[in-house]
Amino acid sequence: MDAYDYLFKFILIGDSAVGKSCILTSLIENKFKKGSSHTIGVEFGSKIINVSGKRVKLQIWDTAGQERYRSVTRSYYRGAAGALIVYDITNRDTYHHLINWLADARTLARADISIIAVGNKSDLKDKRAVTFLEASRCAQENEILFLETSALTGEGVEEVFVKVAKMILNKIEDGMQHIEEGLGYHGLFSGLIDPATMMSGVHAGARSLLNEASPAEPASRCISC
Amino acid sequence: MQATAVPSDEGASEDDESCSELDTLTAPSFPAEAERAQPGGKGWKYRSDLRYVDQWRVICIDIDRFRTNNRDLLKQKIRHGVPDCLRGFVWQKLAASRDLFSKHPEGLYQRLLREPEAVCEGDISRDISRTFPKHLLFRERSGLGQDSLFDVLRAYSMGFITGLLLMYMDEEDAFAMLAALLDKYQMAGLFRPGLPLLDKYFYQFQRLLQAHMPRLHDHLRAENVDATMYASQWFMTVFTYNFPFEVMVRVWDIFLAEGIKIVFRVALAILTLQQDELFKESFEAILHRLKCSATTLKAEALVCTALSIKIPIGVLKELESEYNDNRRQPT
Repeated sequence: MDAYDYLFKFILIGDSAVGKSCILTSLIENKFKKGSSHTIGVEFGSKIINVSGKRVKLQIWDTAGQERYRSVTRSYYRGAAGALIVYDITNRDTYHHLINWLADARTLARADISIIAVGNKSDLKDKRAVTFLEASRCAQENEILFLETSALTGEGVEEVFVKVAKMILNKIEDGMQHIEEGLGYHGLFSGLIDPATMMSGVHAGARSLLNEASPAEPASRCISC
Repeated sequence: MQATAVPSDEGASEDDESCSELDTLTAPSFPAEAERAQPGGKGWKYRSDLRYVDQWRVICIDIDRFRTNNRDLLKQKIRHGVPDCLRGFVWQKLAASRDLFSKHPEGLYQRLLREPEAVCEGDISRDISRTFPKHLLFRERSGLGQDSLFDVLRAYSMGFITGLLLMYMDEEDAFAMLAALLDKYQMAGLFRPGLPLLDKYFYQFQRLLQAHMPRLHDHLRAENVDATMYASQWFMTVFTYNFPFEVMVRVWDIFLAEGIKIVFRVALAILTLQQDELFKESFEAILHRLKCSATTLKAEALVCTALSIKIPIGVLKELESEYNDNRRQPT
């Protein structure tokens, strides 16, 4: 039985050919898919991971990086609780575009979305064109998380998802505390997630209802994305 | 004259939309090579295959004239599948792609090739190794296929479709086919920024689904599954993305002869053939099924079901104006 405490919706965005689909395959199938096709429109994958003692189900939308698909992929930002902005460490252009993707996420997604910058292809050490340090600084300046991954070896892949999920869980905890302290539903305005609303890309699963008196709606189904 | 041009015309008498003959005589065995290889599909089919190819050879002697004189018969033959060895030729005839050469006798393709850099050269290089990554022709980097693909795509950028064309014709002809597709088959609208045509197709498709399978439509809606999640690839690449080869070419035979309607029909057929399962499933399982349907469905069954779904051409037109009206109204 794949019961879970929370359901988080994620989106994978970033330039074409940086390895978004390969990261997703790596997470879900634990293997590198050689000779994969470029994504047309969107692809979907899901996985349950353990984060801080909670079972978190991730529903991940993998979007096409090419500019022309923007009109199709835009609608997937709205429902997302987490965003992975992927670039290719061997290609500076894809790194420079990180800012554009970030702007997209900030305008199209909910204010409380948790974002991580992901430098993929870390196995290609000889061809590295973006240092860990500069990317890490850039992420800090923009107040987003940062990690490097290799979809080829699988290094860092699960960590990326866990890291974002942790951040969201923390926001939920903070939000609950807020409510418990009688501060009301101001979470949205302070950048926190309000677990009592069904609007966000976060939903409580059936398990949390059995285990604890959760303020969340009794549903493990997701709303429109 | 008609009788001398075609040795046999058993297809002529049959009902326009029916697939009944497919189980019996000549045509069905030819395109479905995989099925022929199965036990039971023994040598007896071989002779009828040959006869089928022979008929097509005769048709191809002057396919334009045949098309004018025997429109419905040709349509039937195409629906049964064009023999693979003649496919490249027939496709070019159906799209009248070589008209381009008479319009531009100075060698348009060669001229474009000499341009120092195409507008989207970067995009093209990135996608090149990711188009039909498993097909022999395109597997090797800088192999024969990848080079041709690159050259043709420098002039345009429709990877999978171009890949398919290059399996049946040379670069210059593939280039002319793309020109015909963008123009006569209106595919340009599929690739323009904002994908305006795709948006319209989604609308039409969703309304057709509602009309043909209202219960399934409601079920998918309740599960928050919409067409953008699974049908982008169907419409944008006309089933060249992740579909088995024999399905792909059969759909393309019909697409080139009859136009976009077949794409709607096949899309509806994919849902029809799996509706019992789909009804039992929820969001994730539905998406998974629809994305994988490519590999589970048999070409013959899919094409037959698709052709049995009637979409009067007027309906598509109606839905188009409905779509345009909706867009004009501010929401």
